[in-house]
Amino acid sequence: MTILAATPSALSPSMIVAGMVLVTVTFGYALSCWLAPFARCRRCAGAGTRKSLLGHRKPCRSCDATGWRLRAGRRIANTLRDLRDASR
Amino acid sequence: MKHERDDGEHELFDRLEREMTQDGGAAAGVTDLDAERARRRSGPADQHFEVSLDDDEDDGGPERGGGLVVEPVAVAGRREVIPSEWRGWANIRATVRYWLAYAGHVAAFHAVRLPWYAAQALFWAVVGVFRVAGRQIRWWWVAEQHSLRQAAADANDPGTWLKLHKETRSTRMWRFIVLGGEVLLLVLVLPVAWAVAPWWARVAGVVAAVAFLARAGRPADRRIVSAAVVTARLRRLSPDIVLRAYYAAGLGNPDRADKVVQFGSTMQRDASGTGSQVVIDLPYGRTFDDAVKNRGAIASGLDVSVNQVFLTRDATSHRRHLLWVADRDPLAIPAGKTPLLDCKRRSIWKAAPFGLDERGRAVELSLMWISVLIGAQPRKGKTFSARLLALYAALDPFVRLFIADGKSSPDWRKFALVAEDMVYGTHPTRDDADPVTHMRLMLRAVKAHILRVNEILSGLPVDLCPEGKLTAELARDPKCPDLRVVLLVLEEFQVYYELDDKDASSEIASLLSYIMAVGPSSGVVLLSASQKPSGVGGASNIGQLFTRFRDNHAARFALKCGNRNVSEAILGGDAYAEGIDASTLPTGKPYLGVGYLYGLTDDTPTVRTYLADHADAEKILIAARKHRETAGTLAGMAAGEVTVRETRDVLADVASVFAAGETGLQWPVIAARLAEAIPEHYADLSADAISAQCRSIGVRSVNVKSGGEVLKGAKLADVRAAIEGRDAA
Repeated sequence: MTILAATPSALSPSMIVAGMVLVTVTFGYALSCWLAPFARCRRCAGAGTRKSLLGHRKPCRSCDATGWRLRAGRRIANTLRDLRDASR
Repeated sequence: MKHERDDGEHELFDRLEREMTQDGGAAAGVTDLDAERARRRSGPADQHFEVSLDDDEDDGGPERGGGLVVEPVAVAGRREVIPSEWRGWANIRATVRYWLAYAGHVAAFHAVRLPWYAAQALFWAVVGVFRVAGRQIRWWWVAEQHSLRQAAADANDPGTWLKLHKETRSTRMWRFIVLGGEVLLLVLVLPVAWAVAPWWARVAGVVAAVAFLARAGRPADRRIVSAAVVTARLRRLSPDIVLRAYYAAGLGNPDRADKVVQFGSTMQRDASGTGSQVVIDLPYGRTFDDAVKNRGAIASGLDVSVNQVFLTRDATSHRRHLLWVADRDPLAIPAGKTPLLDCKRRSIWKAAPFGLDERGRAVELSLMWISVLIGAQPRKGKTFSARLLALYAALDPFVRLFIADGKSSPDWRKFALVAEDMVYGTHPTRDDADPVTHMRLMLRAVKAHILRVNEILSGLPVDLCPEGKLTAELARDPKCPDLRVVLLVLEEFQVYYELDDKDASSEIASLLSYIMAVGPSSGVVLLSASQKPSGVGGASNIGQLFTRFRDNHAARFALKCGNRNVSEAILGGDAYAEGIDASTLPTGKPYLGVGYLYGLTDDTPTVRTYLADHADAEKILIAARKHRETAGTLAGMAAGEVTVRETRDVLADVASVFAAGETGLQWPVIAARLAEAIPEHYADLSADAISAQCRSIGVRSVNVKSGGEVLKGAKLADVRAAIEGRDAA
């Protein structure tokens, strides 16, 4: 194994594909955090209500009965921004 | 939120309740309409038109302290039905010509720049395509709502976000349809239209499209088409600025009720449209003179040039005056050429056009019965303004002109065409071998004329001469050739008071004093100009006569002076006390011929005199000579008459006494021979006098040997050379 041959082989095709996927996923998630910051509530699957143990439908407490939750990425971004604004 | 709304509702109900009860009360009593009408009618009739001297605070008079000034009122009275620029053929022609010239200028200006406009338009049209597309995409995508949605996400407010999201989607749908229609139009209809349209419609379409896209594409501050005509930006006066100026000048105090400056009128544009004016009431006790003294400070407070500020006395109160602020420095705009250039016959009995005042109004000067003194620094237009008046008199063929030009300048030379007599300077020249004697003779002739006129006038019946004075009819009556108006021009007259020959000076001084005292009422108009009016030295009697002569002028015109004393000498001490000081007149090329005309009217106009330059003067004088030839009034020098042998040609005389073969003569011999040969001029000539005269005109004094004695004398060759040099010049 010579040094000359080792350099190109360090970036194998599978690694390049993996890197591209990673970048795409990260940017895609950031984009969705920006343009579609809300996603369906996981608890009630976007319905806003849930069945109780007794079978009654009651408002979902996780999403305040809206059926929407803020994406985790957006939540982090908001917190970071609030911290920065508070420090000014 | 809810709580507040409740409060508001309570208030509303309370109000409604109150109004209902009030309505009920009013409805209970029936209004007697006739009584009410009578009451209203009698209202104003009770007032009567007495106004208390002191302003009532609430009588609607001018507001104290200069509040908001009500609508400006232009000149009072009826406005012209047809504006003056469209009245009469001459005016219509001038107006049409003006607008055609204007349109022509604008067209030429843009035509020259058309290629540059086209290049710029094409470039910005490309930018415009992207601009228009981007604007439509933003419109389609409801871009302005983006920040609202983001704010909802930031606040973790899913309800608001959802609402906005739904609205956006429906809006985008509709706008998509609209934009789709537009694209369809562009893609389908445009090629068809292009194919069927005639060429000129295509060109028009392309030009319109490029213009539209360029307009959309260019930055807002970058105009493609530049302005062909630029109008001046003027300062608009406001009451606040005026008050600021007066308080800054120390003419009042806004914090003390008895020291506030007030407005006596509304702020308005003046009738000529060249400035703003307002009547100012100073506090009690401050006078017009205070304002005039502080003119510079007022100008500074108004933030304009001092040349733009004009104060005019008001007849009704000494604390009141009119402030007029010109839009631009009016004195720097030349008055233009003299209207005398039409070379028509004029009458000295009518006012002579002199110039324009600060407001562009014509200033006229009626020369009859007055004497005019014109003074200034050299090269400020003194001679030009004096000549302007003399030219007017020259155009009246019945005016006899006598001109004494103390500086012997070219400015007056052409008056030889019409003048009955002219004196050039004080030193012998080719034109005038002995101007001092000539001057004495001329003034004696004027004096004789005055005596003769008075003698004739006192012998005339009352119906011909109602007031014992010359009339316009008598002055041109062919039966009385002695009754004429005389214009005596004295340019740099002070030189005749400062002659080396004191006897001559004192005779001229006493003659001038006599003419000044008696002349104007006998139709002798004096027009004197001097650059050194403050007085002459020498014998005290002459100095006194000079001062008296100077101070007796009725009208004074002072152009730019070197200092206040000179201005006082010309205008008199009173003028300075009134704040008129010709040394404060602006200096500089645009202000040549600008001066104060004092003593003719109560307000002292700042006159920009008309221009009559050398060529104009010659043209007018040639015409004046024609008028005189037609009227048969050409006389004296202008007619080529030589009344006495006043032209004493020293050089020729000296040359004539050399006997054949003599090359040089001693001065005593020359003097003796001259006295013998030409006794009327050289009767008591001394050797020193002829030596001095000859040396002053270029004959050298050299040693001449005669009879074994060497004395100073003159060579014939030198005399001949001097004659040749003079004739060649």
